[in-house]
Amino acid sequence: MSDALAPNNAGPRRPKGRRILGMRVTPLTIRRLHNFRKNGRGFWSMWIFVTLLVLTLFAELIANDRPLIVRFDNALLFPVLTDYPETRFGGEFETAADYRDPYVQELIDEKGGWIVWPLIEFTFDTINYNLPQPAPSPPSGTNWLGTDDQGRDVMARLIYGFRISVLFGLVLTAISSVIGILAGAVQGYFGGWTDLLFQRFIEIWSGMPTLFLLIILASIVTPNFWWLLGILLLFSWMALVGVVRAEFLRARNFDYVRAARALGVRNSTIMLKHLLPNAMVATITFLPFNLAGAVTVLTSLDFLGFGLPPGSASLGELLAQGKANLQAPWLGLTGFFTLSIMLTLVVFTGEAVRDAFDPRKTFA
Amino acid sequence: MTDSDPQAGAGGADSTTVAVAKPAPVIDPSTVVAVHDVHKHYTLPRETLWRDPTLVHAVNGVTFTIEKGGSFGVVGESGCGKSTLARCVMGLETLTQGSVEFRGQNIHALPVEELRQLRRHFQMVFQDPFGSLDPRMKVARIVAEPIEALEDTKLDERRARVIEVLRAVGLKESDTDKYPHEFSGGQRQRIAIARALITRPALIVADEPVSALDVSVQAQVLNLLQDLQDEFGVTYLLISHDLAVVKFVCDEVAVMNEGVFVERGPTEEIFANPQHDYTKTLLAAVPQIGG
Repeated sequence: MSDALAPNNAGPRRPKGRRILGMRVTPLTIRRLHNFRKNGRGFWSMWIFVTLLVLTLFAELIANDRPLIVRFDNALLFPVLTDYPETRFGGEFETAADYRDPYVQELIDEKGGWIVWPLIEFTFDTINYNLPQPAPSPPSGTNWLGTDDQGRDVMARLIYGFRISVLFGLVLTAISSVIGILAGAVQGYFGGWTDLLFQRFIEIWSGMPTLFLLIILASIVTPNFWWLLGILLLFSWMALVGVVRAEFLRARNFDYVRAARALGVRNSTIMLKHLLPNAMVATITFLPFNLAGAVTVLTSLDFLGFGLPPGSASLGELLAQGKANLQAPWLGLTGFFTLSIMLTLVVFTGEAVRDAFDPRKTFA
Repeated sequence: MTDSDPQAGAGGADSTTVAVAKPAPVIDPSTVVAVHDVHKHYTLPRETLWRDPTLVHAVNGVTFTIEKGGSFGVVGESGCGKSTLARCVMGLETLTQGSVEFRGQNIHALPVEELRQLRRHFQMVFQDPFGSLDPRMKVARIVAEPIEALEDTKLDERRARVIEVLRAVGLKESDTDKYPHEFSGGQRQRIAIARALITRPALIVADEPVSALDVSVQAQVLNLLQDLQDEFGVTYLLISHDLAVVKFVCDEVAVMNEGVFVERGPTEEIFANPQHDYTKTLLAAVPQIGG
């Protein structure tokens, strides 16, 4: 991009073109940003979603079974960051201290120390042994959204589950977009046999039953985050191929593309500098919806029990528990509302992005 | 389908050795481009499964040479194959038959990468100045595109070259920071010409360079083409449906009809004393004011 900026080093600078975060933005981009901001629903949805995501990124500081700070023996300890053996507090075991254990709390109290707990005193796999009712127990002051059937705090599981769902969705969307754009670009730009064969391959490949493959694979390997990502990537990259291919097919016959070709510009350069900008609008418009799709896929796999390994926090597993424990409606309802609100926020954002890129729509 | 056949890239690896082994050109060194018996046939999509697809003979055996500093015009009605001929000369189409030799090198036999490198010596100006410039790029980038792709010039030298060539086509240094839509059609065509000139090519193929422009602007651009020829000694292959344009710029003219040259010769001779019936019809078809 340095060459693009080169002409500005000398000569009179024209007032046009502002900078946002140091990047030059065209009036068109400004207009799009403006349109996006004007769409209140989408704009706020995005901010709520981003806030939730940023908050849950620090889930360890919000919901954890280790205290944030422990004052013990005139020393400040940070159990969130470091493991301290129980013997550090005068206990008996060399193992890491369990701060929820009344015995450890007593030890700290005896020395006149104090404990600062996170907002929620459970992590996603902490089992609350002093439940007033057998698990799943209903919402209470300690377990705000109740516990699941293994006595784990639903709120804590929700926070961690939200984080892993969104991160999984983001990573899956990002990687599959890159692959999809590359594949679509190659197909659309070269056309002809490349396009024909590639399209037929995609048709066959997209006919593969993803779910069954996953179920089969789940019996061979224990799926973890990266396994699931890899397996879902095998099929999710095709989502963007269609639009990108269409844009490249359309744009490869533009005069300026033919001109660049005749002038001796490399194919890769043409694709990157002349064609990709054309395809970006369509691509960016699709991204939020792909994100929503990726989150749904992970949730449904978890729901069926073929997703993340047992014990990990996941929204799909929460839904499955809700289905198995209809007498404990807080499980199913929590899962339902979290998922539907999250997906609604993403879809509203996506709609706002789509409308902002639409040249026919104007917002006052 | 396109000139950019991905398969052909595989042959590019050993391109250097092939080039060294090539015999020295035997043709007259003053010949810039030699087109020999060029055929270009297109297949239309099959109408039925049982019949062979229809062939379109866009160019059907065309032979000519252009000397250094000359300007060769091709005229003909629309659909006669003249634009296809231009694309064949530029190496943008694969030939059905025949050869195009640029300074003694058969450009259609060259590996993809070598042909791309050779393109700095023959550049093209397109018909539509509104379409041939990327609306997202500033003039400086548009004009610098060929040297960016083909040469290894430093940033400040690149900029100096851009300004030099913009001045040569009558544009200002301050124009480098504008987008194409800020210019009129004539100015845009000047930008396109500047882009073709910046690699200092020996040959410029101009496909209907003025037909998208107002008549008043046409003369300016044609004058510019002539001035540039005097200044840089560039050779032109000019494609036009407009007899006046060809008459104004070219010293040799070929009249094309249905893929072949029906008549060819020095401009004055053709216009003064047309031999072929088609040429006569074409000349007679020019509307005369008061005639």
